[in-house]
Amino acid sequence: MPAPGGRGTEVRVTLRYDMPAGALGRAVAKYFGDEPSQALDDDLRRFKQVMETGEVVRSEGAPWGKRARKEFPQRPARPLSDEELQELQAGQEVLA
Amino acid sequence: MKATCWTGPNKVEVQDVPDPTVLNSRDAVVKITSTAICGSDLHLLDGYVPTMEKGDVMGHEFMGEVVEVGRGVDGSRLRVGDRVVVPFPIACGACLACRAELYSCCENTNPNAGVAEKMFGHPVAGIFGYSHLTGGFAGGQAEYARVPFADVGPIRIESDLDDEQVLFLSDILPTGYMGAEMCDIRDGDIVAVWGPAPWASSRWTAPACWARTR
Repeated sequence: MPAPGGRGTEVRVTLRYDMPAGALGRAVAKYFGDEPSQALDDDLRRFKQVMETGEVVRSEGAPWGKRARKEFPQRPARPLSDEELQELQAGQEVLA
Repeated sequence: MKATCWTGPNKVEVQDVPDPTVLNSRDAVVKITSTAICGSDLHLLDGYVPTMEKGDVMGHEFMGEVVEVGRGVDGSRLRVGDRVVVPFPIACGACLACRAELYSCCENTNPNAGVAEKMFGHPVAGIFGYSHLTGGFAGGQAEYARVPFADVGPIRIESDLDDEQVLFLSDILPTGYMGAEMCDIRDGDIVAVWGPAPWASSRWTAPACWARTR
């Protein structure tokens, strides 16, 4: 839907799900960054990046882009080695 | 290449790290000719800013020569061989904040914006060498740096001004200017400037105040 004041477009996703093992399952999933709301947050932010800039934004600390599963700990903010670049590409993380 | 790396509270080492490469299509790689230490680097150095990782390359005030550009970089804005000053916030140029020239509020350049939201209550743009709260980007206290969205932020220097005369466009001068603007300083005002950071020591804030009154 259009955002108020001509400020772009709001995208809202309503997701209903049953978590295996209930609250315990949710806590475990959240710890690993796999809780559905985290996955949705990843997808929406990446979607906005792709829509507005054409690609998912990568940093040295998060070369895979926004991903809750890999927020902590993150790799150091230093350039990637050749091996890491190859691994990133092998994981179907298409680099420019 | 050699780079200044944070290795723990109050520990910094010059280490050998891989050379940066293009990771996104609008990246450039800059060979750094001058870089500075900001007063706010002290907050990282002493370990009070969370989400630093051992081995992070520091530095968000730098300039140099463009040695490589990604295929998506607008050639009318930036080319190999250009001499550039790189602003510390990384801005995509396309989101609502960037279109309103509020580049430090860029909504796209910080992959860890969700973490920043939890910490500060609002997201912040990506910043070079300034913890993982601001994206985990490698900094510019190094021989080379990767600059994302290189056709948005970097300022081309086409005059023969020395590095020292333009380097502080990366942070200190605009920070002083912003202070002057927030204070609504007018011609003829008498102002006192104080603060812990180098920019408050007047060398750059005074010209910023002057510029504000022009």
